[in-house]
Order: sequence, then C-alpha cells, then structure tokens
Amino acid sequence: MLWETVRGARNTPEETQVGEHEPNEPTGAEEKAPTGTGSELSRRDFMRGAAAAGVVIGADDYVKPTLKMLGVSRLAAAASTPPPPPPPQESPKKGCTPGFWGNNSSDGQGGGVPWWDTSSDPEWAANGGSGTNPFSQSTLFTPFFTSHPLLVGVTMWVAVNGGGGSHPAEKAARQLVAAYLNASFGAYTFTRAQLSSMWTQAVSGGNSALNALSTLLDATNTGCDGQ
Amino acid sequence: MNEATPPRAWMESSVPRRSTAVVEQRANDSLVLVHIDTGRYYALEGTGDVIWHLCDGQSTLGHIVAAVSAQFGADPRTVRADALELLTELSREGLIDDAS
Repeated sequence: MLWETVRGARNTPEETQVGEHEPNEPTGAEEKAPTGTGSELSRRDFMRGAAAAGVVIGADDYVKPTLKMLGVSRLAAAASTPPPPPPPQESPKKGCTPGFWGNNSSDGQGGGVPWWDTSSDPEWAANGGSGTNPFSQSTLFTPFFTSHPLLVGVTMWVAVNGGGGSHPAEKAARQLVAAYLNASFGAYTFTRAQLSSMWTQAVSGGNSALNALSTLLDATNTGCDGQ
Repeated sequence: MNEATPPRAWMESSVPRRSTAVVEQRANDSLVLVHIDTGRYYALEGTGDVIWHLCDGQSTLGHIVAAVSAQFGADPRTVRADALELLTELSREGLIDDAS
C-alpha cells in the first residue's frame, strides 16, 4: 500500500496541507502492504531517504490513526470466567459457511442442510447439534437481532442466503446467521451472546463496522470441510 | 482477563514490532486485527494500517514518523503525537512490542 502509493506519488499543488486532517477516502492504493524482505527494505530505504531529504511525497489525505476494539471472542470470555469452561462440544461435522446452512434453491437441491427448517427441528439434534436450533428458517431477522432498515421483514433463511443484496448490512447478516447457527450447534469461536452484541455494535458503527464484522465472520465461517 | 502490558514510553529510537500472535484481515477502509491469544479483535482506521505495517521490528519510531509524514504530507509533529498515541494503545493491548 505504502510502497504502491510512493511509487505513483509526486509533488502536487493539491497536496494535503500541514497538519490537515481529512476524512479517509478509499483509494486504489488501499491494498495490503507487500511483505518480505526485498520490497520491505526497498520501501523503507526509499522512505527514509525521502524523509531525510525533506521531500514531500504523496497526495493522500492524512487521517488520524485510530484503534477501535470491536469485541472479544470466546477465548477471552472463557478465560475471564471464574469456573473452568465446559469441555468443547462436538463441532459441526461440516459446513460452517452460509452456503452450508442456506440452500440457494427452492427445491431443496442446493446442498444446504435442512436441520433448522422448523422450531426444535429433530434433524438438528439428530445430526449432532447441541440442544435445539435457535431459530427456524422462517424466523424474522428482526427483532431476533438488532434492527437494521434493510433487514426488517427478512427471514433468517433469506438473510443467510444473501438477502438479495450486497449491502454491508446484508453481507454481515448473512455471515451472522451462519455464525449464530454454528455457535448454537457446537464449538465455535464466538458465543451467541457475543455474536448478538457484535451485530448491535456493527449496526451502530455503520457500513465500515458492518464490513469489518462481515470480514471477520467470513474468515471464521470457512473452517469446515472446505465449504 | 487482560493480558495488556503496562503503558510504555515510546522514544524516537524505539523499534515497534507487530506481535506474531496477531492476524489481520482487510475490510475496506479498515484493517481488522485479531489477537489469537486474547481473542480480542480490533479495527485500525485512518492511517493506522500504514503505521501498523511499518511496525516491522526494524524501523524506529523516528523513521515511522518521517515515512508517514512524507507519505501524506502531514506535519511531523502531528504524526508523531498521533503515532505515539496509537503505539501506546497497540502495546497496551499486546499487539506490538519494542524490538529495540
């Protein structure tokens, strides 16, 4: 990122003024920084040299760096609980992804599991799920989870299948429903309470927070049988 | 539980280094960090990810400030103050340490 920006940067009249703070705007340079000794050293040496020479490089806006805590996974919560945590429950046998819990086909041939079609679906426990399924496919996303305008009247089934859109809220909701099912089924990184709280915080935080939640849960929902 | 380390004094010659217990994932305009030991996860925003990636265990705070100032054309005094604040938070959360 930095190196890419530096390579294409130049001194321009529209450069940010000294000390100016501007809203961050996504740019094409916001790709992950290259790692590795070669590019890392070259970049650093270049920057050091440029800085030493007093050269002003780049026209990106400077935005104050901030660190926001988004939440705590089950690992931290368990460690802070006085009694030792119970033995891990059986993990979902396979498919922690939204596609596993969803189906994407009205005729039931899409590959998803029908373990939560109804309340207290017998297939849930029959397939190793803990207790009963937390909700059924027809349960409304709101008010089960904190309301978001795009998800009012949307069922869990629709939400886990993408909700028909690519808005950050719909993407995060898709991952959230799958994550909540995973947490209910057995061992999972986050507890159900944590997931509900994470969603509430993300709704309050806007699209950036929703995207962060979606990304985080997407990375957590990919560990089962390569789904 | 809080594995946070006591606040430390970052100096010009300090060499911040990312913890190997941290995994990162980009999410549009922020960088999500997950500390796999504490289970805590964070979002780095603004120029935080630039500073984060410069915490390579080789660059001093002085170099980082100079690089960020040059990159964004910002006042080094402002960048230094912001970087110090960020590094203090990052170290308090156990996300970085000082390799110097």
